[in-house]
Amino acid sequence: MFKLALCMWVLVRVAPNFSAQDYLKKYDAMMGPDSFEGIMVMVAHRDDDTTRTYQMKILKSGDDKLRVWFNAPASAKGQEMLRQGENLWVYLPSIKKPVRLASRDNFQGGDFNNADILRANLAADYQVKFGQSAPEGQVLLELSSKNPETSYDRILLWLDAKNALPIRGEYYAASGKMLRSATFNEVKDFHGFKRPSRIVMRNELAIKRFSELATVDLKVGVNPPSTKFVLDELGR
Amino acid sequence: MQQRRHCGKYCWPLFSFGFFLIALSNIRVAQATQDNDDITKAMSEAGAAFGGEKKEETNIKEQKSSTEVNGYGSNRFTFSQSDVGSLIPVNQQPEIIDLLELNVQLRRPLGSPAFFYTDASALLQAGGVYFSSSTAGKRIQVKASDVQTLHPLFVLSEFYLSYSPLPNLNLMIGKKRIVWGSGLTINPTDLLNPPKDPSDATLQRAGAWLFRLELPFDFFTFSAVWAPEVLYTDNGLPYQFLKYPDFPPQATVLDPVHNPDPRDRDYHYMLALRWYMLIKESDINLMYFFSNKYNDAFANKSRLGLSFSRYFFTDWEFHLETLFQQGSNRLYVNGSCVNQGTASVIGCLANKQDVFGQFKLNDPTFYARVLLGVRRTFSEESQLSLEYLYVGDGMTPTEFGNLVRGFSLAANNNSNANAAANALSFSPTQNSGGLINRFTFDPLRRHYLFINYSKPKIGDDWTLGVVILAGLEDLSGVVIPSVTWNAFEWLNLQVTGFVPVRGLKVGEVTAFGRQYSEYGLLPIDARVVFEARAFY
Repeated sequence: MFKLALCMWVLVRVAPNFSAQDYLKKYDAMMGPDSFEGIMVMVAHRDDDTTRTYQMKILKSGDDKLRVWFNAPASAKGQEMLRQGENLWVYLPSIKKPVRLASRDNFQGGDFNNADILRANLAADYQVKFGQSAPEGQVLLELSSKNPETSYDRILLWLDAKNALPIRGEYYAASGKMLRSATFNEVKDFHGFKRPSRIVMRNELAIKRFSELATVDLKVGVNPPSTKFVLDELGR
Repeated sequence: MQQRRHCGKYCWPLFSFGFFLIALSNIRVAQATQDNDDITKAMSEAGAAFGGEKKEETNIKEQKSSTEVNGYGSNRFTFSQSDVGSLIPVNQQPEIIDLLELNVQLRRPLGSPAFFYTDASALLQAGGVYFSSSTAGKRIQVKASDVQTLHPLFVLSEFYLSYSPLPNLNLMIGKKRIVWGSGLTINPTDLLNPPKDPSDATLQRAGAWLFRLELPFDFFTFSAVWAPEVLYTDNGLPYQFLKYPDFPPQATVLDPVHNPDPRDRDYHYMLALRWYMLIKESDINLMYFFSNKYNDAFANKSRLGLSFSRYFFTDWEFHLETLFQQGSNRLYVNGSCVNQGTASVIGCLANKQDVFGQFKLNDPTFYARVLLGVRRTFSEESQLSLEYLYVGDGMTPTEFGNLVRGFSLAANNNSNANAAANALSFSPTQNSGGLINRFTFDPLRRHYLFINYSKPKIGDDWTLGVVILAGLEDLSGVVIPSVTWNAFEWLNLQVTGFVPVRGLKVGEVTAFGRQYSEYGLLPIDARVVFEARAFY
């Protein structure tokens, strides 16, 4: 009881003006800005200590449009992914046509799933409240899924109480089992926009496996034409 | 001297197979030296690839305007055991084939709204070891001959210029694979392209020569395609489109008996219109085709197509693809000409009746080809796809029985039997303008089930897969297991088997005292394919 009171006091002291919903919106705005163009690298570390590296360019417009171009590895070069609202497709140059994807499928076989990368809008999919055991200077957000379509049933997010920079995340299945955990590292300034430049996502079901997503460059506020997010544009 | 000639025939496949095995045994050693902490290097490379050299204060530019080149080299070694008792002759079917493919995919931007793209492959093949049946029905080795399907080949899978003068207008001319249907194993609405390999859709990337106008918008796209037929080719490269010239093809000049003059005075083309809509998270395509002797005998023929794809229950993708047409261009055998054996064939010929032909070409009946499928990726990343195919103009048991009786009679005459085998399309061919498939599928009957299951990440880099192509009327089919090792990011090694299942004594047809199923006609007992593919 004393601990709970202490936590609440710390929370009120460091962040008197932000509600849990506010924090989540700040998180979404930081990790999935409304409109951006970015270059990212994902390195998947596997059980045998080898890695697979993916280079990609990401273009996002608004809440519901996102497109990814893959440049490496050579076997994935030319692949593209498109999200339009709830719809996800991958264009495979080897079959010369797009194929629908589920948001819960793994992103390129790594430890992120498609929704982690292509649909970073937690406020739309989860209800949020403050958790009770955040270290000093941090806030803990407890997210619970609004619908069964989401990748995780429950998410715990630790954010910096002052600026809402994410520090750590835990992602749970409906059974209560932890599926993934993430750390958010190396805050960088991308043309005046600050955010963690490296996310390490650990697969808690296969403990030696983890994936790193590094932001090489990011430019927010771009306004790409809507024709960039049309299914028949894939492969062009 | 005799020894050298013998080596010359088989050296290449054996050498290639040996190289494959040596590569296989050495890769794990090399893999241990792979750098595990390469994210910094990858970040630098990504910065350079997408927006110039990585700097602290760099602006993201459009993707580099220079030419992008990638591709692969692959070596495919195939060993088949021919079924010498098959109704289809196997004396020109090599039991060992080695196919070397060098592929280049090149994209060259031509200013902001235009680009040129090509996906080209050079294929070299060697093959040998031929078996046939002796007069006593025993398996005997026979002499090699010049087999047309083993000739070197150049395949332009795609070769086109794309130009977008307006944001919602794209013009494209050249050769391109355009697939609007949602089917995975087979696309009933695909009337343009060389057929897929049903055992692996990624093995066929070749398209058709065409002109396309497309108007893409957020939630719908309109496409219009006009495709002239390629009438003459040489080693895979086309040199006559749309209308036959005044001269016959070279094959006819050299051997007019086996290559009759194909010329007519018609224009051979297809016009296709497609309306794509994204409605309630569903992909819907409505298609209209009008063709005149384009890849088939139909003249001034209209056909309608429909395709649908959507996720249901979060993880289950459901798709439907269907084609409607009047009549059929399928080859049928005249039952009255084969029921009584050779005597009835002679009777038909004497009465100038066709023994076989496209008897339903002008049939007013509407026939549908319908593909229904579901696909799911499970939490451990295994993927399952189930597809059911209904072929409206597929053969009834009686019609299939007539076909088998026709084959039985043709088997007595080698040239007739070869023609019949080509009509069946069981064997890979070179004349489709596409890459050489490991296996081709042309449904003869009405009901089929395709099962495709893969389980990746077995020991990180290994993927187990199985494809089952099953005819539901006689329960015959082919089981195609495979093991793939993604040894490096740039290297895939795969072993694939093809095992025909002759049928379970259900729904077979009887011809002259023997029972036959559809896949019982396959001229192989088994086939194993080793493939190494290195990407660059």
